[in-house]
Amino acid sequence: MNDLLKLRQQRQQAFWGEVLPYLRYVMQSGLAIVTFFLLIVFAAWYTTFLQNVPQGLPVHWILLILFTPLAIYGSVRTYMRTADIVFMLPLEVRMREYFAPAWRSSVIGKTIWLLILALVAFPFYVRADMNAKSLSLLVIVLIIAKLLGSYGSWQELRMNTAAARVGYRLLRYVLIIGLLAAFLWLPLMTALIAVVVIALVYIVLLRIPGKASVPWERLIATEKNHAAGVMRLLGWFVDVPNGERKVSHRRWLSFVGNRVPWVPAKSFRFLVSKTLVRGELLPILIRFVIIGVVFVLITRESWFGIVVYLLFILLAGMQMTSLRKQHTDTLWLSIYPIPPESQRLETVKLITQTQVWITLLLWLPLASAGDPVRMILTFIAGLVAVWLYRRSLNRKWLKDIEAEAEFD
Amino acid sequence: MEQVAILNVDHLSGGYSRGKPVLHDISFEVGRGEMIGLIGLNGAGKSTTMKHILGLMTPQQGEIRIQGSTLAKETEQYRASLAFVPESPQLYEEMTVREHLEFTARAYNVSQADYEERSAHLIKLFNMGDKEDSLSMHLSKGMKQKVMIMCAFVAAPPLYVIDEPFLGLDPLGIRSLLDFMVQTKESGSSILLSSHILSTIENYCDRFIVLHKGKVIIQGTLEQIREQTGQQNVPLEQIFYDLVQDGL
Repeated sequence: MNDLLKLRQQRQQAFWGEVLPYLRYVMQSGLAIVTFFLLIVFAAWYTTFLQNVPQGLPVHWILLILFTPLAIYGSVRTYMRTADIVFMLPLEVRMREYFAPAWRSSVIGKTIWLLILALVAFPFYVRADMNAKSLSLLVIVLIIAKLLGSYGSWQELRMNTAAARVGYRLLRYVLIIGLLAAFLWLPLMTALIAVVVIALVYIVLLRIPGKASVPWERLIATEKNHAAGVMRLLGWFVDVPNGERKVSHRRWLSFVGNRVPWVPAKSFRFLVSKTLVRGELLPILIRFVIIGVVFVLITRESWFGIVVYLLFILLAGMQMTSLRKQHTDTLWLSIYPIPPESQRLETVKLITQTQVWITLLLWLPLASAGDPVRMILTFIAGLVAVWLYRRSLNRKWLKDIEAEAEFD
Repeated sequence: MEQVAILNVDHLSGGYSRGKPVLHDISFEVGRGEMIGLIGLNGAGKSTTMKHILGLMTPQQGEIRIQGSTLAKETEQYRASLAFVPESPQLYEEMTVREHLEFTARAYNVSQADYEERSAHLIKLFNMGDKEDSLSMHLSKGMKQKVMIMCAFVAAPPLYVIDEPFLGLDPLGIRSLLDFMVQTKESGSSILLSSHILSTIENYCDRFIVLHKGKVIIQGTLEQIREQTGQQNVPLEQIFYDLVQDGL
């Protein structure tokens, strides 16, 4: 127990030992082929795009939107467990040994993804911007942004008050976006001075709020969310055990579900509507739709735009399948007099309705460009994709029910 | 009062594996308007009995009927006839206290008017007025237990199966629950209650069923149990202690 470094390694191995067997099924589900196909389609489109980059593209805005999420996102996998608050508390002064490798591997892993993105985007940058800065400078600034983002988010976890955590999270978003924007928009020397000043000011500001040496409960809760996130991602493709769920009140959405008809057959709809608006799925979907709209906007002039549009509709559906697994093991659904098929019917209905809204939102960038016939046909194709997805979801669910009944 | 059985447990044997039943040939009834105390040591089979009644486990032998219906044949009628309060609160983190009550009322087909009336009464009775719009994840254990109890009572079915309801409740909560159980019983509903606090339930239950090692070793009113054990004017706790000590 005293060998903290080894303990973390053991926990990391145990977690991935649990996850890796599922990856085989994920690959078998066709993900590998789809990813490969999409990479080829993207490479073909991007090569053509680079040969003739349209004039007047908002290159700085596009790069800022591409780099910001990866630069800001600074999660650290600690693999901490609930019992740690009892058994590891006496080792609090030594916990740095436990956290240091976690922080290091997180920063390195995420920086690699950011740099891959930079390498892919750079050819576009130099063609679209006459005054583009060098690749080496771009890489250095992105690494600085990533380090600041990760360090900042770790310090936020340690802050004592919720107000400080929220305030500093906003500050991190603003300063990192400001840092990237300064680098992209300003002349070289001014940009570099701005980057250094922003970084120094941020580091100084992070020293102000009171912090816990180890924020045990928050670290454990955050780790549960990360683990659940991985399981949720796998859950798009295979049946995995339900992890811990993060819930937010979102009072402004409390009305959702209240107008569901007052009959036992619809009562599950009441529950699953609350699950949708208060769980982690809603912010994921919102972020997903925003990214989708940006991608559709960028690619809407070519046929690739239609592929992107349909892909985002299907991926949104896949994300929402997690709703199916949220209540599989709840005691009350086995005891309450709710018709057994209502869980499937109401979940599928909610997923379809939400997917139709997403289809409409993703279509808006297409609606303002191109010829009207293509525009309308694309929307119809989107609705057909929703219908096909609904059919496949229903079929798979019924098949699983039959398999379970046979097993019983 | 004429005892019309709401719950019939008839020669029930069951458990987690076929070769090793936990319950052995258990038979008892719960009459209309009766409150029955199901008592026993840890591992005696109380929770397993309740799980069989709830339909979470399938009997290996014997039959369970609620108002004459079985789970296999009249599933929805059976389920609508009972409400359950578990030993550990099991709530949906994404729902508020009020929404839990509403979800239960919707599932049990309680009319909106009845739901409004019952929920207002229960929220007041259990002192949860300032928490009704709180998410369940922000409640203390005792408050969560109160929500479980309120959900069962908002459904108002003919039979309540209540497992260790006093755990985590404050003294006011215990008193409110006991008073409400008495009212419920007087209105004609039946309660099967499991608890280790024998000194409390001694004064509230009409009859007792003592389970030990998966068997009913004695059942009846307190007077009948005293007679059968030959221990007059002895509290239930002492009789229980002697019974299980002998049988250990």
